[in-house]
This record gives sequence, C-alpha cells and structure tokens, in this order.
Amino acid sequence: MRKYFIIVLIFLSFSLMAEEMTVEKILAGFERSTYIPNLTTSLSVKLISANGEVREIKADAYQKNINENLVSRLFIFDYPPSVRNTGLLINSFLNGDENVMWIYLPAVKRVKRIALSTSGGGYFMGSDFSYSDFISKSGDDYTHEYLGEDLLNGTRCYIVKEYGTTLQKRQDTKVSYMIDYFRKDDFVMYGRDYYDLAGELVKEYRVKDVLVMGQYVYPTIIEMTNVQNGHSSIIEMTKASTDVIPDRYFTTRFLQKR
Amino acid sequence: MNKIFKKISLVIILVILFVPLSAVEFQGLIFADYYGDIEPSTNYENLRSRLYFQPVLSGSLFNYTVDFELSGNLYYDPLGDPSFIEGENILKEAYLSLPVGNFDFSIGQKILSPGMVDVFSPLNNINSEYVYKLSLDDPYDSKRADLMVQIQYYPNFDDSIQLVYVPFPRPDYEETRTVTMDSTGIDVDFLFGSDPYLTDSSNSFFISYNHMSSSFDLQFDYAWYTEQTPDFDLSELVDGPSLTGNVLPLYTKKHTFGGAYSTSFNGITLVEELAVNLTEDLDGTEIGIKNSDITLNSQITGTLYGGTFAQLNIVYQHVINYDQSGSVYSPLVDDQLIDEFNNYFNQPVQNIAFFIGHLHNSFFREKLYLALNVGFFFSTDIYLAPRIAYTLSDEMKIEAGADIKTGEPSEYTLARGNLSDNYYVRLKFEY
Repeated sequence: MRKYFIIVLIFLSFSLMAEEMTVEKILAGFERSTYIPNLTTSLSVKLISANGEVREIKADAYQKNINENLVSRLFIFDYPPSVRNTGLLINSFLNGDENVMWIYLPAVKRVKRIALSTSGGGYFMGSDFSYSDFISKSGDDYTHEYLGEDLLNGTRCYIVKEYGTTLQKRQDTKVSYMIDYFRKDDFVMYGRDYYDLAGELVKEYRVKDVLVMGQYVYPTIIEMTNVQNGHSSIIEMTKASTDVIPDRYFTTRFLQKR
Repeated sequence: MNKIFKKISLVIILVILFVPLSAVEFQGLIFADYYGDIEPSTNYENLRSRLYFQPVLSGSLFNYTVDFELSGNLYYDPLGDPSFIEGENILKEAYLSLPVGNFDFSIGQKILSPGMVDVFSPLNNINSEYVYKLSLDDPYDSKRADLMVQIQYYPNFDDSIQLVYVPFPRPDYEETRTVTMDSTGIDVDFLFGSDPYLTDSSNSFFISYNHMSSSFDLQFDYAWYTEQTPDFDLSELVDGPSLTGNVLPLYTKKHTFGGAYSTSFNGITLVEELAVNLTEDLDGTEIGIKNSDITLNSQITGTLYGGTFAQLNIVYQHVINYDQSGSVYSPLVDDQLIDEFNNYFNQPVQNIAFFIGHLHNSFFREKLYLALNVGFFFSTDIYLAPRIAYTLSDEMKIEAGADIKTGEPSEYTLARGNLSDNYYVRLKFEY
C-alpha cells in the first residue's frame, strides 16, 4: 500500500510539473482581475513633449459592461477650458461589430457620431494613447502566442505576442504586433511594447501603479512612451469606485444633458 | 417687446441669484481681435477691432432638480466709430431645464442645432444669424438665441422626440440701414433692419424625431416657422417712368420637411441631410419672395496621412418653379429686380451645387493647430480660409486666419454680409 501511495505521488508531481501556462489561462486571468463591471474615476492625462513640456487634460470617466457583448465608456472633460464639458461616449463590441463613438460639442450643442480613427487621428485627445488602447477588443480580431516568462522592471511576467488577425486590422491600428507582459501573481498587463508596420519598436506601455479593489486589480498610473519621437503620456486615475453606474449614463441623452 | 424681454430676463436672473443653488459653474471667454481688409481691388482698410467678453454661469437649483444656464456677449469696437454691442444682443442664452422621468423640459432663450452636417445644414433653421460676419466660421457671431419652450421625450435609450415652440422669432441681425437701388428705371430704397422680435409673424413650431444606435443615427424633422431671412414687401412701390418707393423686409412662413442619416464604417463617417423647403411662393410667381427648394448636403469625414482630419461637404440645391414670375413692372425693371432678389436669396440659377472642404491637424502636442477651408462654387470664384492657432497656455491662445475669395466682390446692390477679403489676429483667454 505504501509503495502504491508513493507511486501515485510521483505520478501526480510529474503531472503538475507538466501543466503549462497557456494564452487562454493568461487572458482568462487578465479578464478576471481587470474586467470590472462598473468603474467611475477621475482621469488626468499628461502630455509630455520631447523637451519636457507638460500639458494636462482632466476628465471624469465612467466604464460599464452593459452586457456580455457591449462595454460602454463615457468621458466628460473638465480641463483645459477649451474642452470643458465636451463629452465622449464610446460603445465597443466584443463580437467584432464596428465600435461607435459620439462626441458632444458644447459650443454647437450637438451630439455627433464620429469614427474612432477620425478623432485626433485615432489618438485620445492628442495623447500617445490611441482609442484602440481604451476599447475592449473582440477575441476574433487578434491572435495570441505565448512566448514564455521574463522579467520586466524586476517583475516576473508571462510574455504574450499579440497581432491583428488580418492585414486590414494591423493597418488600421498601424501596429504589426505587440508584446504583452502579464504579471505572474495577478495577470495585470504590466507592460506592452508596440511594433509598427515596419517591425520597429514605436511605443512602450508601462503600468506604474495599481489599485486593488476586492477581486479586481486596476492600473491607476499608466505611462505610454513613443520611443521614436520622444513623446510620452501619463494617465492617472484617482477616486476610483466600483459602484453600479446606471445604464442611462451611457446614452446620448446623458451625454448632452448631464 | 423689448420691455417684456427685459422683464423676463430680470426675473430669471433674480431667481437664479436668490433661489438656493445646488451647484454653480462660472466660465468665461475674453478676446481681443483685429480684422483688416485685404481686398486687392481696394485700399487697405481697418475693418474691426474688438474687445469681447462672454461670461457663462451654469448650475443647478433646488437640490439638482432644475438646471440653468445664463450667458452673455459684451463687446466694444474701438476702431473707427467706437461702438458697443447692441442691447438686444447682450443676453446670449438664459434658460431653465427640468428633467422629469422620460421628459426633459426647457424654457428660456436658447440656441439649438438640429440637423447633422457641420456646414450649410438645411435643417438648422430654429435660430437666426448675424448677417455681417467677417469670418464665415466665426463662432462668436453665428447664431442668435430665441425665446422658446422645448420638450424632449425619450421613450427608450435610443429614441427621442423633440418639440420646440418659439412664440416670437428673431430675424437675422443686421444693422438698420437704407440701401438705394438706383439704376435704369429704378429708384427704390430698401429699408433693412427690423424689430428685435417678429411679433407680426409670430409662432414657429419645430418637431423632430431622433434615433441614435450603434449602426446609424437618424433624424426626421418638420417645421412650420417664420423664415429669419427677410423677403421683400413690394406693395409700396409706385410704377411710373421709374419704379420708386420703399421696400420693407417681409418675414414669411415656411414649411420644412427633412431628415438626416449618419453612419460610420472603416474610419469614415458619412452624413446625408435632405430638406424640402416650401415657402409662401410655392408657384414661384412672387419675385419678392424666395422660391421653394430641395437641398441635399452630403458630408464625408475621415483621416488622411499624418492624422490630418478631412471633411468634404457636397451641397446640391434645386430651386422649385424657378423663373416662373410673370410680368410685374416693365421687362427691364423686372429683370433687374429678379436678378437682385435671386442673388440675395442665394438662388441665382435653378440648380446649384458646390463643395466645401476642410482639413486640420495639430502639432507639437496639440499646441499648434493648422486648418484650411476651401469652397468651390462652380464659378471662377474659389473660397479659401486658412486658419492657424497656437496655444500659449492651457487658458490662452493666439489665432490668425483669412477669408479670401479669388473673384471680385459682388456688385449686387443687395449683396449681404462681408464682401471683402480679410485677415484677422486674435488673442483669446478662456477660464
């Protein structure tokens, strides 16, 4: 009996050693920790030029998983004065449907539909973050490849290569592939390197700080650096709350009449 | 009417000042600008220098139950004959809004922008305009707010129905002036300028349905309203060896049926806006009244190389029953009047088409803004309007631009608005 028990133990230990990390497990862990059903936060985006000059944009941000297919985001800008009360409502679909954005312009008191890539050349309020960095992505749009583990700034991470499934997708985002770094202990995407269509490193995304809210881990300071032109942008999120946000917030009615 | 309006404004201001405020936000805009005339065929001339202040007070009353907004325009033009803004234009917007369940109620003086295209929107017909704008895209001399009641009903998150009632519409604003048409067989004075409110042609109604969904946005509109651009009352003219007398502005009713559709795909946004405008001159026989028309505006927006925002508007208008007026005076007089009136009404031919293009981009982390507007009107005239702005700080910006038409200024007696090429420089502070 004792020999049988030892044999079973050895067999189990081999099985455990043979269990590999997979992309599916990493993405599932990432989703568990960061797919927050409701999130309200105050957002600050610092735009830093190559010579160190800083401009700041402030907004209130709301995010809600409306249903299993739709994630909505609302931004109401407060600073600088030229964009005060401008609102952005973004609906992103996880089934591959085209994402939609409406903008409220207080100067003309009108809600306009615009294509995400049209607004700011596809960049969020002139920052180094593109709108595709903000929106949830359909699983069908991207292919993932597990590359193993490595250290990023002293933190052990799982490394995943991610690239648009189609040439059109890669051309739309101007990114040929990305290298994602997921922290081993909580699957937070700790970093991402963007490679342009020529295969050159163009941007680096790094999480500087996170906030733990129950089962969720939310990045609160994110830096995006364009290594080709020396620009960088820093997003800071404060006053984060996971209180339920009414669905009516993510309507064009609320966009212009909040 | 001015007194009634002032009393209403005073009541609103007192209510806002003495009723418990839940939240108040104060914003302001100050600028100093200078316009110069650079028309090649004339000598250089100072067109305008202005010191401008626009305060905006907004907030909530009664524990966030009611929202309000109060804003004004104040300016002083020191060059030439110094002048202050006319009293009737000082108050910009002053209204209260009350959301009740699926309804939003609003009452007061307000600017609304129906339609979906950004320029030459045939459905954007609720408010009047400032006629004499030095820059065609001037945001400070654009629309004038109207006293109105607005009711919006939202049966669900995607749809809404809006009713707007304007009891006393305001005409397009132009200074009181007399224009003399003195040519062969004609010696007529056109007396422009009118009351601040069109009490003789009151009551305008606007209804629209809006649908905003993930696939497309849709709007249907109907309006029965007083057209803010005047027609001409020719009843006081005396036909003799010469046609003489005074022509007064006449504000007539109009029906507008129309709709707009907007969708986006592959990084492009497409908007189509169509309006059928039926005037009181449905059969086209009244030379002093604008003809009915059908107007279609197609707008395409996208991003070009380097993140340059690009927009193209293609506008087509068909004038219904064009050139159907019979003999009114003598053939020579009729031809001159019809020519002047058609140009005034922007209906010089039966079918009109033109393009408006817009490009803009920002550089140096959004500090430098460059834009170009181009208009092509299927004539020798091309409209060019370059714009440049540099952000000195988050609150301060310096801007410059020009409005240039490659042809000569209009020689029509009744030509409206600014006719000369010009440039401007502006220093702006917002808080």
